[in-house]
Amino acid sequence: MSAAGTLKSSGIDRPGSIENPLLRTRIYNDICEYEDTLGRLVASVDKFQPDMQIARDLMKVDQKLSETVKALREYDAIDGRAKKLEAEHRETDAKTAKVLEVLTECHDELNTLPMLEQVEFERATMLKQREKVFTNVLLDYAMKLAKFTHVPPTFDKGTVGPNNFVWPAEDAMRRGMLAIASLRAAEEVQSATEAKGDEEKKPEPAEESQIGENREELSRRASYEFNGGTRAQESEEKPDEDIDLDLDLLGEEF
Amino acid sequence: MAAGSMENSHLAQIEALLAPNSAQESPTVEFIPQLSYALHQVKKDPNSSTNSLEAATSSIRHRLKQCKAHLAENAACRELLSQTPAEWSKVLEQRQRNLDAKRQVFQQLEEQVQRL
Repeated sequence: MSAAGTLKSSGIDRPGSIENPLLRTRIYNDICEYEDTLGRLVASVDKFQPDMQIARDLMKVDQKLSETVKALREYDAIDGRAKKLEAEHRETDAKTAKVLEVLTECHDELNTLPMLEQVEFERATMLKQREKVFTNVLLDYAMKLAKFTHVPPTFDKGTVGPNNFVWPAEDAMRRGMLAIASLRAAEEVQSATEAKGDEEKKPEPAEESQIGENREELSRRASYEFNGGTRAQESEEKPDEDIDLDLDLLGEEF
Repeated sequence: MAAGSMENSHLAQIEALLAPNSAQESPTVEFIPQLSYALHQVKKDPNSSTNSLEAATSSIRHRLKQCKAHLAENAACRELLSQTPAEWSKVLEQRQRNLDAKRQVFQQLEEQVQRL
């Protein structure tokens, strides 16, 4: 009865306690009422003053307790049903946990797989890169191929001319370069003559003698015309035209 | 002891304390005959010191105290008896509905997986 002792000391037996869960128990209240009524009856009898009302009350309480005891069977059935439901709940919860674990594993596996959009994008990128052929690769291949092949017989060579190229013909480019070179040569000559003129202006005392010499040179140059020297000079100045012609020929050959 | 008739051992013990020799189908408290016999003994010999009603009813009070202590000790039993059968019926119906809802979720999941 130590439990009962602790019960009393902890205040569970106090009827006024709100926290006492036993007060909500019908059978506990009936037993308490039985005890109380029986105590009063015993006291009245032992005092030789028996109270019939207490005896009747005890009869009622006894009947009430008997009904409560009969209800224990019903509580037993409720307990059985509750336990069964609890077991089913536990089983269902365990099943739920297992299903969730499997679903999580499936989710992780799906995450490791590449996305369809990503695969399609990579495939499209690769196909685009394959479509492109780099110029150096194409030229290397053409160089290799050219060693072992020739122009097809049906190919019209006349179509492959400078006029059909998108860039200027080689002879035209050479002409342009020569024209630039000739302009530069004229500039150089002009600068050279200016430099010479400066130098000539400095020696004043010998100016008259130099002028005389120039005049002599001019007279000599004039004499060259008769001697045919100028022709030689002209022939010396003409190589550009000759080269140009040669180049043109070369260009035409190409 | 009528413990064999009930699945819950705590309830069986309470029943055994309050109605030890009653029929299993309809247990009744058998304190009244005992009290009646004790009163008869007191009435027959009221001056006898051994025939006091308090001494005669001590076994009844002892059983009632045992029963109270048992209820106080077992929380599960206390919880079970703290609600009326009608309240328990509502609670169990709600639990049954929750269980059905869980099973329905499983059924829906199974159908979804089969559709995949």
